Amino acid sequence: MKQSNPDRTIAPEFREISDIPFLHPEQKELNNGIPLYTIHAGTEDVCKIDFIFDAGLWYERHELNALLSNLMLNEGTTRLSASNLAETFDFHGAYLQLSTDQHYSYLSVITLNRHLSKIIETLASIIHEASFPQHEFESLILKKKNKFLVEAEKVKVISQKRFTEVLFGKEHPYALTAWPDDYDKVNLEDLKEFVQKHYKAERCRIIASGIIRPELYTLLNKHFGSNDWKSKTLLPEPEFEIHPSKQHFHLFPKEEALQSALRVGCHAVNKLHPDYQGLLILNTILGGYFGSRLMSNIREDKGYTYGIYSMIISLKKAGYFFITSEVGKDSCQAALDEIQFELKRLRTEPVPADELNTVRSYMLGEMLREFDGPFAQAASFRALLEYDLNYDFYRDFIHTIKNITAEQLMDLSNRYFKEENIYEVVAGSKN
Amino acid sequence: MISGKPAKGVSLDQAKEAIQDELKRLSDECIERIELEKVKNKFEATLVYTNMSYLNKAMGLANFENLGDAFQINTQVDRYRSITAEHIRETARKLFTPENSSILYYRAKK
Repeated sequence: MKQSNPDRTIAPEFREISDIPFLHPEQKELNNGIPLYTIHAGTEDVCKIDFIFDAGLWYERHELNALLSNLMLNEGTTRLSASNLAETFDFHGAYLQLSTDQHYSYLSVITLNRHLSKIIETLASIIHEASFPQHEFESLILKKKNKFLVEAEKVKVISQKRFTEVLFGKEHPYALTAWPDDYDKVNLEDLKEFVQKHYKAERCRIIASGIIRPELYTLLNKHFGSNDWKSKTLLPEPEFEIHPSKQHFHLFPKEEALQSALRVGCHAVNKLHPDYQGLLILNTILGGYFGSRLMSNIREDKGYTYGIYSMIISLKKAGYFFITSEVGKDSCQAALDEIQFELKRLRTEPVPADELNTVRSYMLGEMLREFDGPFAQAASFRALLEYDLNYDFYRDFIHTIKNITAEQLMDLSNRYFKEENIYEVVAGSKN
Repeated sequence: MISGKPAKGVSLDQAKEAIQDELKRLSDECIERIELEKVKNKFEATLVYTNMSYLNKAMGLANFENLGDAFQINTQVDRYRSITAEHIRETARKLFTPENSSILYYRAKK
C-alpha cells in the first residue's frame, strides 16, 4: 500500500513557530493522598512512571546518604535479590532509572503496557521491601568510590564542585562537597534510616505518561495507595543559610594538569522570579549555543578552548549563573580576560537585531524538542512541579522570547552580571 | 562487528578463541525459548521507545521509504517477533564462518 507521491519539486512550507500544544496532565489522588499526574498521549503502547520523593541532598545528614540510599533500593529486596531485579527488568524490556538531586530522589520506570502489572509489582517491592544487603552495599561503595577517584582528579570536576562551595558555603546542601574519601564513612544503617524516614507517602508524587491504561490507577493504588505507608509524624523542613565566599578569585592548583578548568559566575534567580526568562535569553546569547558570544570569541577567534558555554541553574531555594570551560594551561588568564570583556559588552552595548532574532529562532526550536512526545512533556511538567507553576510559564516564555528587546537585555546584564558580584574559580594553573 | 578489550593478563588470542566459541555455539545450538523471548521483548521495547519522539518517527519513516515502503514501519515489530530459534541458528551458521570475517588487532606498544 503506498500513498500518492507528494510533489518533490516543492519544498515543505516554512513557518515560524507560533504556538506549542501542551498536553495538560490530569490530576488524581491515590487513596492515601499521593498526587498522581497523568499525561495520556502518543501512539506507542508504553508507559513511563516517575516517582518523586522529597529525599534529595537537602535532607541528608551525612555525605552521599541521599544518593546511595536511592541506589541501594535496587540492590535487593526481601523477596528479590539484586540479580532477580535486574533479570526482571531486562526480561521485560523495561528500564529502571534511579537518580537524586538537590531536593528530590527519583525512581523512574519505562515499560510496555503489556508488562505493566509485573513491573509495578516489582517496583513496589523495591520501594517498600528494600533489604539493604551488606555484600551489595560493599560492592556499590567500591565501584562508586573507584569511579569517583578518577573523576575527582579532573580539573573540570574540581572547578565544578569548588564553584558551588564558593557560592553557597561548604555547609549548604547546594555545595557539592562530597569527595572520594566520604565513601569510606558511609554507614549502611544510616541509609536504611534515610529511606524509612523519607520514602513515605506524604513525601511522594507520581507522574505517568504515555498511553495510560485504566488499570494503571488500580495497580498504583493497590501497591502505593495504602495509609500504612504514611508517617505518623511529619519531619520538619531543614533550613540553611547561604554563606558566599568573601574572596572573588579562587585557584585550586593541580600541577600535572595540561588544561585549566574555569567556572565564572554569580548568584542569580530561579524560575519563580520575573527576571528568570529574560536571563535565560541573555544567557543563550552569551554562551548558550554554538554561535554564542563566548564560543565565537574564545573558541573560534582566539582558539583558547574546544568549548565554552554558560548556564542558568534554577533550584528550589536559589538560582545561579556560570560560564564554564577548559582552556590550555597557558591561556587561562587570557580566557578569563575575554570572559570579562564579553560580560562588559553585554552591559554596555545593545544586542544587534540580527543576532537577537537568531537566538529567538534557536530558542523556540529548542523548546519544541522539550515537548516532543509524552515523555518529554512529562519532563517539562516535572520541571514546574516543585515550584507550583503551571503551563502559563511556558506560554509566557514563548511570548518573552518573541518580544524581549535589546534594551531589556542590556538592563538585565547590568543588574545580574555586575563585575563586583562575579566569582572566578580556576582548577589547574593560572599561568 | 564484535569488539572488546581483554582484561590484564588475557591475551588477544584467548579473547579471539572465546568469541569464536560463542559464535560456534550460536551456529550449532538453538537458543532457549526464555532467552529468545527476552531478546524479543528488549528489541520491541527499544523500537517502541524510540518511536515516541516525532523526530525519530520521521527518521524511521524516511528510512523505510528509502528501502521501498514507508508503511513497513508499522509491521517492524511483528516481523522481529516472528523470528524463530531455527532462523537464528541458520543465519549464524551462514554468517559466522572464519572465511567471512576480518580481524583487527590493536595492540599496546609495551
